[in-house]
Amino acid sequence: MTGPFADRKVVVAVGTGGVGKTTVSAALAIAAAASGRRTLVMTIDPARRLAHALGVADHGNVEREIEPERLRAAGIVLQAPLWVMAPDVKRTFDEIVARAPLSEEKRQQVFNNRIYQHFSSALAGSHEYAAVQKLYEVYKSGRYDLIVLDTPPAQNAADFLDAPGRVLDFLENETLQWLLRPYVGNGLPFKVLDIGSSFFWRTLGGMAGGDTLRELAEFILSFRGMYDGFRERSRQVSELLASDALAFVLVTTTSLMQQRAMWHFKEELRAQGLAVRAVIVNRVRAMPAWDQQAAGRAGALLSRLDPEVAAEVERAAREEWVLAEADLRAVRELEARLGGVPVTLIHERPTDVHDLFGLANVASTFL
Amino acid sequence: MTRPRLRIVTGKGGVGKTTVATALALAEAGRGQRTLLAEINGRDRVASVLGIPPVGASICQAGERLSVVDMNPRAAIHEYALMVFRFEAIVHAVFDNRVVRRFLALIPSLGELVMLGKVWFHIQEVQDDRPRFDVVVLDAPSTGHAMSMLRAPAMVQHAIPPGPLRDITRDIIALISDPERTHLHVVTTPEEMPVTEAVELECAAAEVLQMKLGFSVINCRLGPLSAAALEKLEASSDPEVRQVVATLRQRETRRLQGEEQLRRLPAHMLEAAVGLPRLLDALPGRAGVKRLAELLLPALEREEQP
Repeated sequence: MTGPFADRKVVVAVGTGGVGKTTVSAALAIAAAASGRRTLVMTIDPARRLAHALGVADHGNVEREIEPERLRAAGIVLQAPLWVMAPDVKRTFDEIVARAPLSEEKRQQVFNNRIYQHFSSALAGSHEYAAVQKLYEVYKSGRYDLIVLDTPPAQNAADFLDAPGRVLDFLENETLQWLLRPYVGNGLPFKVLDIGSSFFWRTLGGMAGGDTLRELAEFILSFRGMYDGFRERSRQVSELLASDALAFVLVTTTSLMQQRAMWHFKEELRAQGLAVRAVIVNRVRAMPAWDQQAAGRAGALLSRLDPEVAAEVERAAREEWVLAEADLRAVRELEARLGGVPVTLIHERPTDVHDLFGLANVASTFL
Repeated sequence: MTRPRLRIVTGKGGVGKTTVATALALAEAGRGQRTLLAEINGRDRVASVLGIPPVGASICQAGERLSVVDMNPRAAIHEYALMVFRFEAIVHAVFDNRVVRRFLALIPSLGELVMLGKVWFHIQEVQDDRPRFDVVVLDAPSTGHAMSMLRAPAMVQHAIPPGPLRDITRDIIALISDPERTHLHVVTTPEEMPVTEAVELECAAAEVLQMKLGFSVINCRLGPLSAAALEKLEASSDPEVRQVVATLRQRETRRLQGEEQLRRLPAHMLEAAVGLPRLLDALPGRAGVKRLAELLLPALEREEQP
């Protein structure tokens, strides 16, 4: 695999739902392993058949090697091992808690907290948080030449980029700590606390119910012993995201909505000082070898037999031509507007990519 | 049969949910229903489909009997707080504080819940002695997110102690699980992964969400081409015409594979589904969506037959 990723250690694939990010990430990883780099692909929430094909259907959070024989059968010879992992949010959090320097009692308190149990995977940003935590862990292990990270589908790149900071910022926020004290006690008589604090809680409590807030406060405060670890980790992750070892790649299609989303992502990344190294356009229709007028001639040939059928055939042919031409135009515009950023096109396949054969076929685009 | 008050449109990302939801809303408005089309974090998707100026978090008019709104969790929470406390000053002081905003953003499912609460509110809202809207069409997030959104009320119901938040969840659950009032419309395309998610949704609608499945929509469904016609063209002396046939045969292959995927849908779902053609323009525009709305109208009428 040459081009924009040759000197990178981490490739992060960003895009909205439905662009085929998982497929593209897996194909990129196959291509990298085929060209001799020890590669791990981290895929989030793959479709079931793809998960089966990759062998991560029931084993979250651990790296598994894809047997080279299976890919050889699909026509790809790996020059280095290929691994795959599906980060699991709850297990990642459990691992963090298990490793944290907490007393056994505190640790159990976290595990037993109702909010933690029900919602650690529903917390805003927790998927992204778990993904980057895992990414950092495997990156530091030094076991891989390349890690391809397939990010959770997002409307905003910031959802992903800010996640480590957001979770941390929230957990260690001093104002919040202070506000939470009346809920869990701090040895001080309640009255000593400021009026502002009780006003705050009366208002919020009126909205959510006081007990809900108490449980949430317990949950947040039980993380207190883990802040230093969290803070240090978050700093390291941010460093990695901004470093030259890592490249962002945008995955999109020719659809106008997806193109818009892509420009939005690109702009967001730029605002954070992060550059996009490549754009991959998935499912591009190939331009027919015939001229549009041929559709009219085909219709004319049939019109004496059955004008209705003739119209239908002509319309279908024109549709194929117009759609392919629109794709061509979209790609040209994209390339012009991107300036020097390399664009890779993946042409539409007659069937969905759902097995190693399909993935190997897409991977050949990158080889 | 009474007409439903809430139509929730979902499906895999990229299948055209927004276009279908907009067409459904136009069809409803077209048959005389005062309609609210609600999208979530839409970033002007509905506005660009309709070719109107950007829509914000407050309801605005987008046509005859058609209102649109682009909801987001933050604005919805602010609005909810305003309803509870009635004083902008308090709400502003507390809820627009950065720390509190972060705090609220972290309360699991609160954003989803409050947005559903907003939908519920507009459904029971009365103006001039009659409902302000006859029907709300919700352009919901894609499958996975939509599921967690629709499950949020029940999850919160189980996970939190009694209180005002739990009261709202009760009303929302009553609304979305009432087959008379709420229909879930699944949008798919004739492709493997969208169909898989449609099957999962059908399953979840009954077992997890306890919601009534309305008619589904198969977007970008191709019509068959006459095999005899293709054979005749193949015999043509015009080489380019023979290349046209090659392209059309590929299209037929794609169509048949798509139809094969569609057969994985439960029979009742496939039978009741409405097929929509692919629109050739990058943005359908109001005229394009109107065409789709006309194709959806018979399905709306069929709903009323007992």
